Amino acid sequence: MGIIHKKVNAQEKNYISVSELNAAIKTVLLHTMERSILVFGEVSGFKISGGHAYFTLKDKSSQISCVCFSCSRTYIPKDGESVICEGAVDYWEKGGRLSFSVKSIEAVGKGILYLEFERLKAKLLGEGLFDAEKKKPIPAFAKNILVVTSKTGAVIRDIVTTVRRKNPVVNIVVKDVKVQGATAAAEICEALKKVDKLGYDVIIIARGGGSLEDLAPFYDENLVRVIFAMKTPVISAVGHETDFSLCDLVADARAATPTAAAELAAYDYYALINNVSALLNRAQRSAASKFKLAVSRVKLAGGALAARLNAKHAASQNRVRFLAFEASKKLQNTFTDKAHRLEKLNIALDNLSPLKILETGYFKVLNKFGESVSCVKALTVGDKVTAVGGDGRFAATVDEIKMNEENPCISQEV
Amino acid sequence: MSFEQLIQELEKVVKQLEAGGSLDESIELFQRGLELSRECIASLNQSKGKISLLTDELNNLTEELKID
Repeated sequence: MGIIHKKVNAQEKNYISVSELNAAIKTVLLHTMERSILVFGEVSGFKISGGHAYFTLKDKSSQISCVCFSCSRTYIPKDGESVICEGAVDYWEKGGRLSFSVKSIEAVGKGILYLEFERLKAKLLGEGLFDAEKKKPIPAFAKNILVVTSKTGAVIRDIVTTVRRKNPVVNIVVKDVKVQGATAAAEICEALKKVDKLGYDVIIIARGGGSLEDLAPFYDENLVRVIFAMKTPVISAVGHETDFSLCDLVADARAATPTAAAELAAYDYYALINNVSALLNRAQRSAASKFKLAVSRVKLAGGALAARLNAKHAASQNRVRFLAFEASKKLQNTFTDKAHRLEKLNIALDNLSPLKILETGYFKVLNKFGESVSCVKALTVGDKVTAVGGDGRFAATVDEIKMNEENPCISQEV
Repeated sequence: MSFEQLIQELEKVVKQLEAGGSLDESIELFQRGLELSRECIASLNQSKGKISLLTDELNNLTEELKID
């Protein structure tokens, strides 16, 4: 191809402008490429925008960007489908971009990649790698979760947000890996073998959506075998909403989205705390009611006992009171009797008292020593005596003594 | 015991309590229930709630990861 030379400032230099380059490329293409070519390849990343279709056509080692204007008039393929596209190579001068401008699309069957995956799936299924019985249960109360994914992006953010919404305590560790590209599968395999030994409760493998070749690492045969051999339970959340990747099939659990994987992996901490509290409440109420029952039984028995004691007590009290009353009455009577008797005796005594006798006209005679004289025998004529009467006394002298012939003195004073 | 075992044990104790029994048994069961509930909460709170990046796959070394 001849390069256009240009003279600038009288110096000959071999450079051109970008516009000139692009224009040259366009010219070359227009002149050398056929205006209508048929290309066979696999569709991927198919999307329609503003009535036009944009996709990539690929084979095992190459790909090209395609655009189909007003695609409604032609067959609309799915990602992974093999098609034959009729169109022309187009070069957009302004943007310097090459594309294949497609006029029509014809379906020829499933895409190569897709077919290969199907074949592998059948083989691994036959080996029993996807069997349900071989799947390990996802732990109910994981304390440590490991996530194999890209450390940047929406996936890890969604997982962390979802987990933290219901669980503030579980530890989340991220193993950063490439999640697409030729080296991704091997990198993920190595990472999984190593983290399996670290004793995490559950491992989540996650990546966002994408086309079939974006997800190709998760259709890798080695990856499937590594996951199958792991001791730690694995949850797979790998992009495809409707189609299951081989990673999804071999994992112990599959989640449609990273968020769903997070829900599966983390337990509801708040619900559990409530659960424990509720159980404790039930225990408390049960024990408290038993205690109350026991207390009321004691009270009841105590009351009955007290009532009985009171009744008995009352009866004895009454009896005692009765007896006391009786006794006091008797005492009183006795007292009264005795008092009467005493009075009588007093009166009798009184009547017998010498004083009383004296009051009746008798006199007591005292000798000169003041001693009582009861016998005339004790007297001598001329003795000085005192006579004591009821109202006083007088002194006298014994003039004459006459003794009785009968009634001799018995008094000892003689 | 794992949290799962602890909470199952607690449920058993509560059912026994509710089923009947003497006051002495009930008090004993309640104390056991109290102990178990404490252990349950402690077991849950063993995790530290850390978010980190695994920097050494062989030695389980991590560093804090900020998710925005």
